[in-house]
Amino acid sequence: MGDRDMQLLQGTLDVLVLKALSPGARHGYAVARWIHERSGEELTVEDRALYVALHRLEDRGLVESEWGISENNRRAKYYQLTAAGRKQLGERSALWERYSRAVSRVLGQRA
Amino acid sequence: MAIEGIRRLLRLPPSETQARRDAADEVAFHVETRVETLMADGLDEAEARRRALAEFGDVSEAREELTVIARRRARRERRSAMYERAWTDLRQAWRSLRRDPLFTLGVLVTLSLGMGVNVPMFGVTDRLLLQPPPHVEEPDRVVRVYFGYQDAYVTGLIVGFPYVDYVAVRDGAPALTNAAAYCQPAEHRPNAQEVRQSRAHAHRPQRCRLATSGQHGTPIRVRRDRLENACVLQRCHLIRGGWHVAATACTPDRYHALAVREGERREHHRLECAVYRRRRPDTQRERCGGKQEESAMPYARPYRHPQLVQHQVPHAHPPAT
Repeated sequence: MGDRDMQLLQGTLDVLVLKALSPGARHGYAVARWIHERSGEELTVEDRALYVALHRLEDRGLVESEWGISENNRRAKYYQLTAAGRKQLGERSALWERYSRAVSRVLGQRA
Repeated sequence: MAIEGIRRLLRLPPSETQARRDAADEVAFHVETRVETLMADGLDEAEARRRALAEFGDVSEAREELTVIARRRARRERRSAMYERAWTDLRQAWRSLRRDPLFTLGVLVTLSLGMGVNVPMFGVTDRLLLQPPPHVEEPDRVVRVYFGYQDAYVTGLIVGFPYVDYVAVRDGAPALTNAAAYCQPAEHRPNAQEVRQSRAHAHRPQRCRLATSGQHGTPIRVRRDRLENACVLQRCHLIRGGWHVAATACTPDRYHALAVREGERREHHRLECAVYRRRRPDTQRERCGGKQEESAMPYARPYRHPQLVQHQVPHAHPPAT
């Protein structure tokens, strides 16, 4: 994959992570599983990229984290959306839908 | 661990060590949870771990990357917390000052007075104690010359010495250059005993002065009967009943240095000196058996008395050069 593709994926990953956190706080592993399952097992996020994205979003103030105990009784770091993150998710989702519709329209047209 | 607990309690950002540990724990949690899931699907532990690690990517690099991000965030949060505290303090101070104008006035007056007094005091202290004397090149090389004396009972230093001793220092002390002396008879009236003693030694006891160049750096001119353009650096008092005092003075070479030490810098310099031995008229020669010594003390303190002194060299001796 070229750099431009990577940038596109990175931007997409941020929206996916924000969306995964919209129902409530989750740890990184749960976010990865949620994206995998909700995409019909089509999308598999590389774990390292996922955690980097989570930390980057936290760095930008879009998510916040807190340590807690996981379902398997381990110490885990839980992430949840901030108000800024929720707003960003709305904007990015709308943008992505417009983009997606536009691409679909182009691809759906017959030559 | 306790420190981190306190940090959490006070809502302080984590330390860099903690950030690194958190990154490692987070990655470990993910890998271990994935291993458990794969084992639940029927894989053995080794295979499950191998797959979990392969899925994750480069674990150590990920840890490092997460640590860097966390560290950057911690620094920013620390800075932000500091600004916030400072801003809160400022606002609180401003409110307090507005609530009590009399107190505010007191604070302002106290601060103004404190600063107003401190500035000139520091200026004076700096000029007198910290800065070298003006118009003197390499002041740490400028020394004042003392003579030591020793007999069977007493050992000590003499702050001034007769003209003949000065000539001996000027011509015979290899560690010094351009020794010179002058005196100011106008300010001291010798008593009868001093006059008697001075006659006995063919010179007059004088109050002496340590001199440097005149104001604005004008070089000293040593005339046959006076010293021109000299500013007094230090007054040397007559030792009554002791050795006769003529004069001693030190200035840099370019100002007809009276005594400037050459070579390496040493705090205390003692050397054999070809100075005439002198003894008090009432002291027997045998009791002055000790050798006379010259000790050169570093002279660095500025003494400024803008007073032009007149120089009177005894005509019986050659003029200072």
